[in-house]
Amino acid sequence: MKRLLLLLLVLGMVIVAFVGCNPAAVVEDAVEDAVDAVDDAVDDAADAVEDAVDDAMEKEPVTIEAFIVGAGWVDQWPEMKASFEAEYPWITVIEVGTGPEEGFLASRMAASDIPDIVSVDNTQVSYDAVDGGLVADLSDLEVTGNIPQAYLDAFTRDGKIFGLTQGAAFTCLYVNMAALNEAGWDAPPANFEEFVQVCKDIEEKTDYEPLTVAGDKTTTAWMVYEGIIATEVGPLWGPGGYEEKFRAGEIVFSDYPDATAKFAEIAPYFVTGSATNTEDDVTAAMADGVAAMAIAGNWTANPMVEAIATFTGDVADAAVTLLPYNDPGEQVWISISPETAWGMSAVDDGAAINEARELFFTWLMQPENFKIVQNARGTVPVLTTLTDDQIILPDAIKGVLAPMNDAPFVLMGFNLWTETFRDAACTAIRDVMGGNKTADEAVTIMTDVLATSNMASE
Amino acid sequence: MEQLTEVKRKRRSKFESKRTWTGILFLIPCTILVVMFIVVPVINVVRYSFNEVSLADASDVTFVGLDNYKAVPQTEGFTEMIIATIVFALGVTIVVVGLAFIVALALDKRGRGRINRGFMRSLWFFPALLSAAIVGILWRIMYHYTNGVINKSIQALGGERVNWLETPWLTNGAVIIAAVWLLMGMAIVIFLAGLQSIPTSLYEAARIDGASKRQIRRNITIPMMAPAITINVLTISIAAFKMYELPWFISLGLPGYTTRLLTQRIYFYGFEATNLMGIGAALSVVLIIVITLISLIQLFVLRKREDIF
Repeated sequence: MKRLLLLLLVLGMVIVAFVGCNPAAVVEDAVEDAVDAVDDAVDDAADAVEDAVDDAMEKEPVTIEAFIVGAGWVDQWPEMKASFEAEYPWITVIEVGTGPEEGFLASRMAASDIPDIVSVDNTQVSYDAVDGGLVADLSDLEVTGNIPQAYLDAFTRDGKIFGLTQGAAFTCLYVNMAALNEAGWDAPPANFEEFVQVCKDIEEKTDYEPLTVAGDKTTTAWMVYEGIIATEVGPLWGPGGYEEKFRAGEIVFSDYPDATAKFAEIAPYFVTGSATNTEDDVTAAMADGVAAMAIAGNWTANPMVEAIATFTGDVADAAVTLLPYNDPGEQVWISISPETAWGMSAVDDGAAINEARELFFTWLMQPENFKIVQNARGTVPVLTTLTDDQIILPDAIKGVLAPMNDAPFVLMGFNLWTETFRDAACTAIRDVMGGNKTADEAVTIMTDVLATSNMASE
Repeated sequence: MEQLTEVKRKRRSKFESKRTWTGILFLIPCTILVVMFIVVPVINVVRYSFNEVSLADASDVTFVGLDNYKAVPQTEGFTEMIIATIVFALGVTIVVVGLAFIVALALDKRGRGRINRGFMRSLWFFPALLSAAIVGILWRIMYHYTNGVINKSIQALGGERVNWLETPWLTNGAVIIAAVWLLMGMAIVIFLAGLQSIPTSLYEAARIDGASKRQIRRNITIPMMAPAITINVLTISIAAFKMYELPWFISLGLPGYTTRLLTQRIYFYGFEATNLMGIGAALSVVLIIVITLISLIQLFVLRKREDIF
């Protein structure tokens, strides 16, 4: 009897267990659980959004100034501004000045106040701002870790990281291949001899003028001679040698007659008026088919490639190469630089503004936002968090990246010179292009001014 | 009687004192602005000219005596800049005053239809409303060798393109023309005001006496315009000496430093080579003295001429 009762009990438990494990009921329960979970998640998200909106409503509206918008991406700025302000509704960003225009920064510095987000460079004005404690040290920001060390070093002064660069720059030769074909060339020049010959052929066999450059901009005016002297002295002094001697004011430019001769040889091929051309004028000269080639920075890649394609009707006619200042069989030395960087004001304008400027700076350096500037300018990317699919470079520029990475290099002039040297040297170079000075006279001026005005002496 | 006079004096003095205080109160806002934006900056410029100054921290100054003044002439292209400044100021003043006078005479003519005259006056005055930087950029575009409207027009007429911005002396002329275009409007207005203040009875009397148009112009119009000429010569020459942005935007000071003005050098030291701000201040002081001297000489000579007439 006892056993029978035990059997009935077990049987009963089995039946209860079977009923309890009804698959339909299990599925039903699971679905219900899932629905509950989703409901909870939606509720949580709604609460979070509500909290964020409440936060935004609670936060006092603030306005910050951004002195970063450059000519190369001014069209993208409204979209960026709107996107940021939608995410942080209590912050209004207003753009002031034009990105690299240092006079604007200097005038603001005179009032001991600089914009919240600011364009900085390796120039005296920026150094003054850093030394005067107007620019923040970015070392502790999380986004700083997303920029390669070499580029951080370039914007470090007295152990203080004062700027995060928006890209890497190097010198290029933009070529309208339709013009070269007309002159009997099927590839861009590979060395100085070919370069001069191409110029000669273009002048003689086509309606184009050989070469142009934006002489109005000091960085590009200096490029005309910079690559020549770098290729001449680079192999002699090795990596870093040029920079060291430049900063110390020890380069005697007139001691390198071959470089001076190359400068003299190439100068007559510039389109008349190149000395005062702006970068827009150069783009127009390529778009109108006035010039066949242009010396320019990679930061103008997009407009330059578009300009050539506009004139020829085929983007494949746009070629980009390194400046062929090398002798046949020798390697060309190029000039590179981190581009203008973005920094942050260190002026204490109250917790709300201080927080807002940091939020905007961090937001700016996020890949999904940074890529807008990056791709508009078509420059070499520096932000390590950018993924391949976020980078859109013109095909012509993509082709030159590998040789650029392989080439030995010197730093671009503006990282090395004083303002006094910049002014004197660029004026002399413009005069050589305009036919108002000889190359010999220009290098003599450069030598004399560098000896008295250099980074070591100032 | 004495008592009455005393009461009157008291009343008057009370009135006068109230009037004086009202005057002082009216002067206060203007005086504060002049002190803040003119007197203090000028004193600071003089102070900085004897010191080494940093733009980022203007309180951080080191006394260097006359070193900044000694460094001024050693600036690269200094002599060329001095010549450029004098040529520019002289050229602009002569052309603006001469041309504005002729245009003002033409615009002052009566009986040509009021609307037409008003429209022409507005047209001549229009450039004066624009900023010098904008005018500089506009003229640079017009002077552009390949795309500029001036060279395109010359080519359309069968001529050769001209390198306006890189040819010695021609570039000086190009810059002067642009400055003249900008400054003419104001000078014309001053001349027109002067012309309209000449009593018509003088002209009528001259005509009755049988004076020719030429004689009227030479013996009535020009002498009576002497004060307006003085004002225009002074204001235009000061404006030309002070001008900075217009010539820079046109020619970048090229060729060499032949169109680079001293004001541009001051800007360079003040806002570009900022560690040399003291030299910029010294150059500013020199320029202030030069402008003041030239203005005083002009004033002396022209006032004397006014007295003659």
